[in-house]
Formats: sequence, structure tokens, C-alpha cells
Amino acid sequence: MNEKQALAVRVVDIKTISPCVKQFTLADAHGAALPAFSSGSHICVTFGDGQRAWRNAYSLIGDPGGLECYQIAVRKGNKEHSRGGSIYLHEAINTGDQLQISPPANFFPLARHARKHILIAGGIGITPILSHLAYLRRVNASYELHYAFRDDAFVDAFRQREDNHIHLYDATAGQRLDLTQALDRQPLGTHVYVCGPHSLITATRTAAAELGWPLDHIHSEEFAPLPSEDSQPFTVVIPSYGLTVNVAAEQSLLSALEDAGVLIASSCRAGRCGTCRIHVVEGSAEHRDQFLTEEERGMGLMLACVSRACGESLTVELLTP
Amino acid sequence: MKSKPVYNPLTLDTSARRHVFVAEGQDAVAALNDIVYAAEQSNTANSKVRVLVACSESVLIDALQMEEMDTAFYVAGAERFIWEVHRMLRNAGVAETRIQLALAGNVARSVYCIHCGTIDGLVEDTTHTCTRCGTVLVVRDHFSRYHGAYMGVRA
Repeated sequence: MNEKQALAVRVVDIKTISPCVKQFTLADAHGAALPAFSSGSHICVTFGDGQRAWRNAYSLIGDPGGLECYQIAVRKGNKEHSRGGSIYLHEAINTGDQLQISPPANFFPLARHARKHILIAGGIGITPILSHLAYLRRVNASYELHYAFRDDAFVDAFRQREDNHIHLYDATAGQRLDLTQALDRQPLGTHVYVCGPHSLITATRTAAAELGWPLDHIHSEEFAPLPSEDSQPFTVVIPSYGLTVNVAAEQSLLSALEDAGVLIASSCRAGRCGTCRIHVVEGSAEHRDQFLTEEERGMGLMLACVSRACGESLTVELLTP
Repeated sequence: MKSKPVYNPLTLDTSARRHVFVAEGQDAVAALNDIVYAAEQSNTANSKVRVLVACSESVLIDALQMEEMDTAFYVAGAERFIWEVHRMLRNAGVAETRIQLALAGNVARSVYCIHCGTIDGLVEDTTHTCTRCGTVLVVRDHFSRYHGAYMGVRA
């Protein structure tokens, strides 16, 4: 995030959506209008408890038409796998508290010339989809929503309103989303937007390819991937700062550097936007992003938000902005 | 010139299940011969081949209503024709990656008069007198995909 562009916001409302999901409504701390955004945008929220600092990216879930406030939904992580930011937001943030946010950025926009939109969400992946849905309803576009969930559901909002374009699949009731059925026989000009775990995105692309779809009509956004369970700790050295930083198994390289006081511009924090790229000087990177080309990786670039070290140590340099 | 279209040889798009061929003129039909054959050979229970020859705009639009996301399009003919069909396909939401164009028959160029907006087809020279406003035009290498024509500017 560019520190100069940071906005101060106040939490004006907190709503419990489900046992593990809370919705926060944020308004400008000085009562001004917030920057306009397009559906699918996210903001980066900066907060801390005095000892630790977090920067987490959250999708804006409201209708992009409203600028008096932003809404985000936060799923509470579990203590072993989470970095603790979402737990802090759930337990320590109250109405009236101030937070810092980045202006909205969008790496998951709607295709402007699509004739029909199919929205597919798994779990908390519903968040960017909610703003797409609000927008598509407002402009009377053709759409379908397929939403598979467990205990983290936004379903109450859907059950209040009759809409036969909306299909809900409650895994706790044994209901399953059949992607082949959802994608078969769709008219020319249909675009698909899928947000959820990696497995849902892969399954959507596989089903689409088998049905003869062009894959450039399948748009996806993966959750900010927490370091997967097989992640190992490693050490990172930044010679120009004279710094050696330990990156824990459950921590990203980006957040480890931030904790050590090294500020790197970042935006999506999920391996999609390329803002946090750094240069590998020694050692080799294990790339987990969806942004860099093979050529760029070959030149020694890596994304600090999701990629890690192959082995125990990595020497990197920051790129001059 | 970056805008000047390059027409690669047609190849069967095996990521699609249905294939639609659109041609205008005998040369265009001949240009599609091999690929229509390849498509028919690849026919499975799920796939289908349609050939549309020299159809009107309304016939093509009706035909598009019946197509779905699994279709690839192959268009052959004079430059003005193939770009007109290209524009119709894009307007119907067809992915750019699902459209292949082949130049067949008369290779003369279409010229867009930037002064009055008229498009004259079958221009063989590098200079041309606009049939509507009479301006003598130099035909530039700048190709407009939207108009399916080369830009003609006052000489």
C-alpha cells in the first residue's frame, strides 16, 4: 500500500452473519465520501494491537453505487493456521474504532461486454461475488449465482428474496454443486467468475474445458492463500538493509518483512497483482503466485505475498519504486 | 505496421466441441475445404459441424442464437466480409480466441475515407478517389478492425 493514499475509516456497524463471519461497515473517519469502486474490488486493512501489525485484504461486498460506506466480511481464522488478524478483528474491534485502509483496487472485475454472467462462490469466496451480484441486479444484467457453503453462509440475505437465478448448495445438508450441469448449454458471450478455494477454481476450469469453453471466459479469484500446511520456515537476508529475518511456517515472506519494519508496496496480497515483487539474489524461490511469467521468474523476480524459499535461505533485494 | 492483420493458416480448434464455418465466394469455400474435412473427421457424439455459405447478416445472427459457449468460428472471404463477420461475432460475445479469419478470393483492400466515413471495397492501388466525397486518398497501412478497412487520408 502506498502510505500517502491510506484512508482513515471508522467502524460504524458490526453485524454477525454466522458463528464465524462478521460484517464490518466502515465510513470515512472525517465524514467525507469514500473513493468510488467497481464490483470485485478489495481494500487492504491495516491494524494492530500495539505488538503485532496486520495488513489483510478484504473484498468490498456492497453495491458499488454506494459511497457513504464500505462493507467487508471477515471469516474468523482458526488459531493454528491463521496469522491472527481476523481473530483480532472479531474479538477486539468495536463500533467506533478507527482502522486504516488502502483505496480500493480491482483484480477481479466483470467482463464489460459479457452477455451473461455466471457467479460461482465457495464458502467465504462469496464476498467479491456479493458486490458483483448487487451491481448485476441493479443494471438488470443476465446472471446466475451458484453458492456452495458450510457454516460460513450469507444465506439469510438470499432467503429473504425470491430469485430463481440463485442456487444454494449447503454442504452440511449433503447438497453438492454440479459444475458440469451449471456450465453446460450456456449461450455465447457468457463469462464465469469463480471465487473460493483452489480446488473449486481448478474444478471449474476442468469442467469448462471438458464442455468446450474458451478458458479466457473463466475468471477466478483465490482466497488470500494462507501458507499451506506443507510450508516450511526459512530465513531471508536483505543485504542492503543489513537484515536477516526469520519467516515462520505459518507466516508469509511479505508479513515477516513488514514485522521487521521493511515496508513493501502490496495490494491483493494473494499472488495476483504483482505489486509486492522483489528480486531474488541468491537461493531459489518456490513460486506460488498466478502473476509472474516464466520469463520474469527466470529473471529472478518473485512475489513476497505468497511465494517462499526452496530450502532454508533466500537472499533478496527490494526493487526501487 | 502493428495494426495490419496477419492471417495465419486455419487450424482446427480442438478445445471447442462445435465448429461453424462462414464463407463468401467460391475461393473462400475452397479455402475452408481441408479444415471442414478435419472437423468432420473429429466428429464425436458431442460435436457438430455447420457450414454457412454467403449468408445474409440476418441468417448469420439467427444461426448464432443456436450456438453456445462450446463453438469455434472460422471465417473466409474478402477482407471486408471477414471483418464484418468478425464484428458480428464479437458483438454476440464470441471470444477473440474462438475466431479465425482467412483471406480468400480478391485480395484488394477496403479503404475507409477518414474525411466522410465512406468505405470503398476492392481497392487495388495505394491511391484511391473516394466514391462519395471525391477526395484523392493515400491508402495507409493502418488497419481498423472496427471498420474492417485501411485508413485513407487526403493525398
